[in-house]
Amino acid sequence: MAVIKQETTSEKLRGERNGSDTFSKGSTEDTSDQSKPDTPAPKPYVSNDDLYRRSSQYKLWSYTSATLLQIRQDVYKEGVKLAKERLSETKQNLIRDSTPEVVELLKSHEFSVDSLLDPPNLTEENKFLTYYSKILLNTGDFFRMPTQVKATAASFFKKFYLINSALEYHPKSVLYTCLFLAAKSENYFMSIESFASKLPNTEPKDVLDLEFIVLKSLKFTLLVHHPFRPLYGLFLDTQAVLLYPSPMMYDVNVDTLGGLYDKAKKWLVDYAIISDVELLFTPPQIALAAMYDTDKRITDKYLKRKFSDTNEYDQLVHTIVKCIRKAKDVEIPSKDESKLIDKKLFFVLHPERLLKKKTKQVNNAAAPTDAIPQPTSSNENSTAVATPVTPAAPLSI
Amino acid sequence: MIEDDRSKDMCPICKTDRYLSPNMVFLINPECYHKICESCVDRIFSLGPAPCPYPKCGKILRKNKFKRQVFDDLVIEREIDIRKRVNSIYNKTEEDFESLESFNSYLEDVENIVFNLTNNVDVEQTTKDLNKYEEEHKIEILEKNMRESQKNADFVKYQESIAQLKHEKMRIQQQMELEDLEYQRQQKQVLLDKLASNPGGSSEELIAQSNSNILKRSSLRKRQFQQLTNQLDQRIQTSNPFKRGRSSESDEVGSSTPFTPFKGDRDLNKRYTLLDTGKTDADVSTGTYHDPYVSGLAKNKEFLGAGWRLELVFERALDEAFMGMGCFIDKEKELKAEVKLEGGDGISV
Repeated sequence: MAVIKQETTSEKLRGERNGSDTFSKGSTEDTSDQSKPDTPAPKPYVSNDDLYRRSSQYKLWSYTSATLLQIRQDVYKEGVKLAKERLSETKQNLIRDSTPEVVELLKSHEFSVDSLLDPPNLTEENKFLTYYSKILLNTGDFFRMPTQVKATAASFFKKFYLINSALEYHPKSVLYTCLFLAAKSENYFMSIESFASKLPNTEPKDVLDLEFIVLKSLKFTLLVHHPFRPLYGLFLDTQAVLLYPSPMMYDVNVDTLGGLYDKAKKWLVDYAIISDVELLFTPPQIALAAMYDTDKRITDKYLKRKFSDTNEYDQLVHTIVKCIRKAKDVEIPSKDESKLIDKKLFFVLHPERLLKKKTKQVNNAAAPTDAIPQPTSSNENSTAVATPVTPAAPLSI
Repeated sequence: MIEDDRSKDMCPICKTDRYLSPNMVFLINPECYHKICESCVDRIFSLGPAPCPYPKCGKILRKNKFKRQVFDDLVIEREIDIRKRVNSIYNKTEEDFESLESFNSYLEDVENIVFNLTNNVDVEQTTKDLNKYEEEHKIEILEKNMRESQKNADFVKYQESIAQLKHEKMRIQQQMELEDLEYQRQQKQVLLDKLASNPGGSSEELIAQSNSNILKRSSLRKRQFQQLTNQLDQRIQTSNPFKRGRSSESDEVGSSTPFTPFKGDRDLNKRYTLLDTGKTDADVSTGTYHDPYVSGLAKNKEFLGAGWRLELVFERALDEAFMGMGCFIDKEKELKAEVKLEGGDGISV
């Protein structure tokens, strides 16, 4: 972050008055950068925007689209690296414990880590995560959670995968933990027993084990500023601006605005929660985008009256339009598609199964006509029967 | 510990124990702060000044200077005595100074003197200065004392009048209640008479009528009572010298910016103007927010009793609506990234 700038500002302020440095870590370009150290400039004012700039959401979890993409790529690369390490380690272990024939097989070119591993690519991974965000919301509905809790959980989920890769933590278990954590942080408490008992194949331990990892990935910032309350505030302010002292538009009254508010709220639930907009825009901007996309005419009139300065107006509308495009630019993959990705992911997360499957394939290919399986592979096969190679459908919610 | 307790409860002169004579009292003299029991004081000092009976003390003490010990710790007892003495000489208050700074430096001087005397620093010089000051400002000190006592008397008067007012109000209320009771009984009697005199008429109507009469009267009486108390309040307000000064002061405080921990004052010019959320729906011209659900909550006494207010809900929502509206992340964060690149390897936060 803006390291240099921060230092100069805090030094300057230390000169002016001692103490109160606990809050000086925030970036306050707008207020304090203008005042020069030698002239006792008028006391800086802290606007609401400056307050937002102090929030963890702005400091830690707001990115430009380029940085966001960069972060995703880095995390993906790291995930692939870890997956490869996992695979080679498993292979080493297998080589140590196996008969010479198998060892020879494992050392062949076909079993090299690079050719063996087939991880889902970055787009696939993102699609898969989107699919799971949707499932997260459905699960929230199943628990009858308020929208606020669901939105927080989705936000946690999204942020978790900005730090970790899906190639390391399967989203299925992470989503439960996110949901449970969000319920706690949004004061919608439910006991872990009742929570886990309603989920398929889940023990309390499965949820709780990940809790600290999720918390750490979130950098312990649990407060999420959602666009819902700003939307409500804008609903109030549109009333003030458009209806008083006399109605601005002949066909707009309290009821039309109320309708607009309800539709915009639905828009937020449908688009804003799943997409990346919360990482790219501020809550009021997202709320405005929802209104703008719902009823462009009224919102535009409101903005024009509110921001008489055309420069500011243009900038805001530009941002809003961008936000709408980002919010709608989300593709939720079909169930079949995500199943295919899940299959790939399964072998990335369980390299021993991958090795087993490959061995079987090779053996089958080597002796397709042999009635009796070769002695070396019989052992392998018998275990493979005991535990089915294909993963149990993970999408059974 | 036990030793300590015992010595605490025993007169070191006559060795009388509190255990044996439970109502014995210890006295001290601000000359040397040695503890002596009352009977010893009577015995030793009734014939005039005498040296302190403690070994190696020998200060000349007088009986009239002996007093009861208030604080357990003698150091504190001594400091309080010194403070009293110094304050009786340096008795100016804030209104005697033009600026706060000069008053503060005056207070500091006083504190220095007290400190010197309590901790035996430069005692001689300080006492000399103190005496000199007293000599020079004798008249001022006396005047100040007079004014203060006048003020105190005023305050006492004010308190008395308040108490009187309360009493008066109570009396009026009681009287009214008595009259009401009487009136109700009369009405009842009238009603019964009426009922008895025309047996054919509908009794319900009569009863309803008399009830409404009583109701009307009671509301009238309530208003009367309110008026009376208001009058009384006003009278006391105008005659009270303290209240007026205070109210103007509080106005001043209200208009200034509250303290913020944000390196600078909060911008009080909000980007919105909060509409009046007055309860009267009829007043539409100035406008009020329309939200049936929240307005419905505002009628709930349980919510209101807990401090929940409608305008706070609106204010918070509106505040958040503009919190970050002008933060264009794309631009700001890009700027930061550039700064970081230029700055090279800074300490990462």
